[in-house]
Amino acid sequence: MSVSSAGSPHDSLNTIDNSINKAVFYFILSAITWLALSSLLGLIGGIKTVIPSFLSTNEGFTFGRIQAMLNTTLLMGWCSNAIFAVAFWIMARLSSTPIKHGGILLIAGVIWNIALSLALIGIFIGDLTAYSWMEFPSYTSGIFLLAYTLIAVWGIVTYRHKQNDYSYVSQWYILGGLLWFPWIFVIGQFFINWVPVRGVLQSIVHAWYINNVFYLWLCPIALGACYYFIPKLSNTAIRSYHLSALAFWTFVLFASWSGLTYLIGGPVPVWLTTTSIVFAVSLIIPALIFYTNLIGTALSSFSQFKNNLALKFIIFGSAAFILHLFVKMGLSIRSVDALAHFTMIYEAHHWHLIYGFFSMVFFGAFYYLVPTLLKHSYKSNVLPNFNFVLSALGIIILLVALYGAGWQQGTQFANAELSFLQIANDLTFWMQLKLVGLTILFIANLLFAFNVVALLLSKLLDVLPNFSNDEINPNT
Amino acid sequence: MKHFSILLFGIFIVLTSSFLGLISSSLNQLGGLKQSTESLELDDAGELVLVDGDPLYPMKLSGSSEQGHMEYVKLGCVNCHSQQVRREELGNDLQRGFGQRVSVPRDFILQSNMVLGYSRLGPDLSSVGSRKSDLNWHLMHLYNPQITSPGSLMPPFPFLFETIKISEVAATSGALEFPEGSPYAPENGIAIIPSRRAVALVEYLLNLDINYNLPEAVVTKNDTGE
Amino acid sequence: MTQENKDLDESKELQDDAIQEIHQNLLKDKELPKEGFSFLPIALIFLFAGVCFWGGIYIVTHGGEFRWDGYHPDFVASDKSLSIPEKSLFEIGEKVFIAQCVQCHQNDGKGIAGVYPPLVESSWVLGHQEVLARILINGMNGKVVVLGKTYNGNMPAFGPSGLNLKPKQIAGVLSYIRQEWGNAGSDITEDTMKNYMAMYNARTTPWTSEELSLNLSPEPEAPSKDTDIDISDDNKMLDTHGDEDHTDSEHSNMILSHKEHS
Ligand code: HEC
Repeated sequence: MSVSSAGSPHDSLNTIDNSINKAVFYFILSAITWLALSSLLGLIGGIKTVIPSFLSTNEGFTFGRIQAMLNTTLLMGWCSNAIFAVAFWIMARLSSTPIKHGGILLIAGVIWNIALSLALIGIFIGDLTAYSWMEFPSYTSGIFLLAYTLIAVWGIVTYRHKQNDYSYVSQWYILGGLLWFPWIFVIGQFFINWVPVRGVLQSIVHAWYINNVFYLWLCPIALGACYYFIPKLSNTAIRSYHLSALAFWTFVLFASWSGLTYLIGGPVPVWLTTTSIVFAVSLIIPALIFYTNLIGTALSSFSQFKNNLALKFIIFGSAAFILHLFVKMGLSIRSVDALAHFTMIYEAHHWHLIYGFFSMVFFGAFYYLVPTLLKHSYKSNVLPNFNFVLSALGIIILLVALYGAGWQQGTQFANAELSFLQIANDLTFWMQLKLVGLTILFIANLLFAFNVVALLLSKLLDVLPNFSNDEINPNT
Repeated sequence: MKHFSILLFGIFIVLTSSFLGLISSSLNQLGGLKQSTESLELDDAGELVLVDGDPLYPMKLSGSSEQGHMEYVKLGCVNCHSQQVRREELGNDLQRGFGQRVSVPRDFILQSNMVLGYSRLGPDLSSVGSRKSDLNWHLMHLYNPQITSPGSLMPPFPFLFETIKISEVAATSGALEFPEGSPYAPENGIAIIPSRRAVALVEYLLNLDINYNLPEAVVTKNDTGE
Repeated sequence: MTQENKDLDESKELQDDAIQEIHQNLLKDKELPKEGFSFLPIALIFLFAGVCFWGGIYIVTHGGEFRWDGYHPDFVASDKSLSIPEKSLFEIGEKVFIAQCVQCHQNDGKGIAGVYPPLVESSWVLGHQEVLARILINGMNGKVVVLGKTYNGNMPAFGPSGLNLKPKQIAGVLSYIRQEWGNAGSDITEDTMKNYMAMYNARTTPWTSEELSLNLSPEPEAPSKDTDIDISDDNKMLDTHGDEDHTDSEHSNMILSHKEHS
């Protein structure tokens, strides 16, 4: 069964884990730092939609800039760093190959975070672009790209040199995600910042960019993690695994074509949106397969699911994802979009993906990864469990608030008698609910950061006393 | 490694196909759009051509409006405001006076930093210049939306304004004129002066108006709502 | 199958290589009758076919015929032909007048006393069309008597030897000055103007006021004003570049209609 010939399986796992230990920890720590910052920004943004004059005397804190910083920290800070941490580890584990040049990974990670800090300062002083989810100033995009190239190369090289003949679907998702991202990024930057096209062409590229960053960067990696952790933690094979290849190809193909549904009814030739609608609706096929593959597997080992913290997070995330896909299909239907367009339903839909799916899966992954790498587990599971409850609650409240707000907005838009002042004012209840959700999430995220850091510290405290011995004797 | 190359190939095809299908083809279709006169005429050869001597639309923004557009981007107005007029059945845009006709790609060909928008917490601004044409109203609204629209969710932008003491001698021109008895009005002897940025932004807003015809989009509604 | 894994591993977790091996085997072993899930692939095939079928039809019927100017989902290009609101000669003329003539003849058409002759009530303006055409096409030099006053100046040519306006524009500006400011002359049509231009384009010297009244042909009959023109589908050509002999195939097919949507 064990493939690597040298030493016991455990030894080789250690080599693999050690090969990227430092880099993975660096990415984990950066990820949780950015997560904490983003939830603070989210909270400020939430307060601003209830009390518009909150923090409004300083230009850098105006609503638009907070929103831009929030999106940037979430996407380039939390999501990307979390991906770097988890994707490489899974890739190395599944390929039974240590990651080479972990040091370069680390340096690249530092460059990435410098670029991000620059981007945030840039946004704060007003260099943001007009495009949501790519608000970072154009002068940082080159640095991001450089850092990314240095990082991603190792994931791909690892897969290329895998020690076994197997190729598991997680690896496909991760390889795909790692390869697609730079491409999407370059196309977005190229047509919008470097050699700008004009007019609605920019909006078309932008819609394509957002959609692909979400569905061909965040989703594949998170799905890769789901496909890895769910069978592993529930100790069961994936249900109807033979369909997973179909799900992979249909999902990525349909999703990448479905981006222009953001522009339904807008000033673009109608065939563009129609095409995207068709592909978005076709997502029902991968969505059904994901349901059997992921949820089906988890349900068939329900007892494990109850007791395993990481699994709970990941199952919650998978369920949220399938729901998200169905909402996406619904939103792409013209008559639904007529109601939902320009409302908070779209904002809700983004939170749904990023918090409901991505973050939950990665919380789960971290709760597995950190103890495994440290070889040090939680003494008590109370706080991590509490984290799960808080995160789940926060996300549900946030989504209910935003979907509810959007629904109400949509029905009121249709009534031309109501002024926008009136419509916006009627949202007060939902905005307050949103603020409650954001506050709970803020606490949950801080708790998450605390849990990870506390485990790290407790391990350090354990190790420190016999640190000198370890140095002399590398075999321990 | 056969498997690896097939996987790479598939990964490549997926994104290329959607790039070619959605982006390249629309670049190809829309990239060559030029300004046009409001209507076309038949030339001697029986082809439709631009009407000689008529103004070309969409018109270019003036320098300071262009600067105002940048302010619009930098202050993140796009988070709450859209700039596109949609068909009547999608939210009553025409009836609300967001424009006199549906907007089409040609309306935007001169713009970079597109602000089509994705959210309408506030009203659409495609034609705000014709709906609200008072400079002072806009400045005041930016200074603090509560003055003009009590209860508004729009954030105030006080940092675009300067507070100065009025000297007895020089009466300040360009200061905000607050409505009588407004609780937001400054004390006597103090004036609120808009900065160049605020003026540019408002000039941009005042210039926003979709009131011209294009050959493919003809004004259907004549009254502007207000 | 699940029992198998449980046997494989004592601990509560699957090891990494086990994950791969098990799943690899699952792939080889395609039918899984035991699972009771075999209806899923079949259902998926039907679903797939259904989605493809619907998608194809939907794209064809709601895709705006893949044209750059189809914006409505129910767009059908051949539904209705475009009627171009043609500008009247008067409107065309007004633009030309403002661009070319106001400097001398002034907005009110009264000219500048002693320097530029007035157009209001002038018998030159309201008189024979050919005279007017000659003046515009070739220009005019020397003394001229207008409303009892003598003016002496140069009127530039607007035909090919001068500013090279098109027949329609000259016809327009002439119609305009014959009908603005209380003048009550007839239109000078584009066709009439084309005839005159055919006759006088070759001439390069300006006219003098004596010459002007010689050899006049009879005035053409006052035509009815041309209004909207309907263009049939075959010549829907939009030249976005403005030069006549060049049409970009991609953009020339302009859309002339949106299906009436009530
Ligand atoms: C938090 C969301 C938000 C942001 C950010 C925002 N607005 Fe608004 N805006 C609103 C709302 C809500 C209204 C409707 C109530 C009102 O008139 O204040 C509005 C109304 C307006 C109006 C009046 C439109 C009309 O027809 O009555 C203008 C003009 C305007 N905003 C301009 C701007 C500009 C310029 C910016 C950027 C500097 C901006 N807004 C940023 C929410 C926002």
